[in-house]
Amino acid sequence: MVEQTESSANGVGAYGITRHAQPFPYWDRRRLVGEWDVEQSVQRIVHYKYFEERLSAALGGWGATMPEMDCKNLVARHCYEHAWHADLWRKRLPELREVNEDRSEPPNDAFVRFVDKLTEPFDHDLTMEKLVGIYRVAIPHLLAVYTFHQHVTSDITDSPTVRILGFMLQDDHKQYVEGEMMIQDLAATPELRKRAGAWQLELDLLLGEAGGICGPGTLGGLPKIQKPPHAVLGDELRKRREAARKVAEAASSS
Amino acid sequence: MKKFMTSDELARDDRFTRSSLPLDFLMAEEVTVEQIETTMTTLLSNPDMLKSMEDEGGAASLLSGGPRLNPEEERAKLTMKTQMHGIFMGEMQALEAAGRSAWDFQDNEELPWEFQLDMCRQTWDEGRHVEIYSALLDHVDCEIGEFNENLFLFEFGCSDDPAERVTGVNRCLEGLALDVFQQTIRFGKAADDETIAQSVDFVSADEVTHVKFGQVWAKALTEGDPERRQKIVNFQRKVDRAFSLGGLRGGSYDGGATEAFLPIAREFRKVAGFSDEEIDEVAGAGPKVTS
Ligand SMILES: [Fe+2]
Ligand SMILES: [Fe+2]
Repeated sequence: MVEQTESSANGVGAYGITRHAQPFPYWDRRRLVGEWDVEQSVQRIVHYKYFEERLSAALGGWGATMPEMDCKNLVARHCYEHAWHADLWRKRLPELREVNEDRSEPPNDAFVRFVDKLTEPFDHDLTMEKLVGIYRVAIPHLLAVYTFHQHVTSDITDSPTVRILGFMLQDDHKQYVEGEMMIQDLAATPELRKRAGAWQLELDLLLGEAGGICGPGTLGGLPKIQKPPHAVLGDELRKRREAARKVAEAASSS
Repeated sequence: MKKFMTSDELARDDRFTRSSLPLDFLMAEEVTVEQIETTMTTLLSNPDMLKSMEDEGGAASLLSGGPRLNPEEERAKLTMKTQMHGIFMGEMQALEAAGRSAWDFQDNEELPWEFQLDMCRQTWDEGRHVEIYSALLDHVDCEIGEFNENLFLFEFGCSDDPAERVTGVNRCLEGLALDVFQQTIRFGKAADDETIAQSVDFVSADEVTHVKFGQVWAKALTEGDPERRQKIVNFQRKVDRAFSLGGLRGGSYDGGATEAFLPIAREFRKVAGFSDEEIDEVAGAGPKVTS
């Protein structure tokens, strides 16, 4: 016979049929209600998918235009990672009641202008601009947006999205670091540093005009932090305790 | 970024030099032994390698006298260096060709998303092959840029028509890769060189997938359109003829051929979806050789 402790008597920490547990462990702090409903989630995902597709195509196209072999190989590797991300989104869409899994839409014209500018460099000596566009503008933006999404969506009802975001964020963190290492290594002169900074600023302003991958409010939303109840002190606390004592006395005398 | 690059626009660092493409030779329906000799001389361009070919009896020996490479032969190392450098450049062009397919056809209505996914996947795989072959170059004491690059794989493979592109790159170029890799794996085993045999074995497994991409997409793009199908078949014959290097490719390992310069990897090609008939067509794609 297992000795009953106070917590196991409440079903917590018990073993077998006396463990009156919820379908998740008691330390699970996930939230049931997230920032968006199903339709709103789909609307964001088709924007993500648009960007991942454009990004993967550009990384593929740039390979042939970079004379630096290590850069050529870097973008070839990352090309597939973004195509895979787009494909994860494609598979998630029908799970969210979207019948057209090929939907893929920019949020507004300004975002299209941003992506067109980002993918514009072609000449062999523009490796710096190509890398800066991807690793200093596009990837940091994705890291911010995907992390935001992972934090605010319901991690119970929308947990398939949270899970695939984990894979993408893992790739993007690695890409961010690999890209920055390459940029640091290539930017050997003040001139190259200036070019990197100027191009980053130009793209960032365009991204700002668009409001982000989902348009204005890409990272916005209502604060949904669970707040503890306000403190009850002084007179109010004394009255509340008195009332409780009277209820208890009445119960014991009857 | 512009679409549809030409082969002379491919970016390289300054270690690389290019030899000009013998286009007329590669396209000809009939070639002479002398022409083969001249072309090989241009393509090889490395004095040591040229001397080695002469010692073996010239280009004619490539056609008749089975230079199946014995790893103990004097010329073994130099030949491996030449071949591996050529494949290294081929892998780089394959990376570039697959990546350009992802870019060039991204908004082509005819092509579903899966096409782009396949092309991006191939881009990554070819990048890995570039890494593997650069390590193998080191393994056989070859420097990057030690031999000239010729751009005929990209040149012939990269058509602006997606059906021709996948046929040229994925069926013809990758098919040629299967033939070459089978030869290299055998060489590696014969030399008791696990580094060569095992790494190329993995590379060739990837290439089978790439050939499959070509089979699937060429078929999908020409389904129910006999005219286009015929156009693609003609294009394929043209590229297969060019890739036969003047008829040096033929025979097959599985048929026990030991005399051909570059036998066809029949079994690998079958796994990739080639029919016997199609393999015979590739084997017979070379020009007529006259003396
Ligand atoms: Fe390859
Ligand atoms: Fe390949």
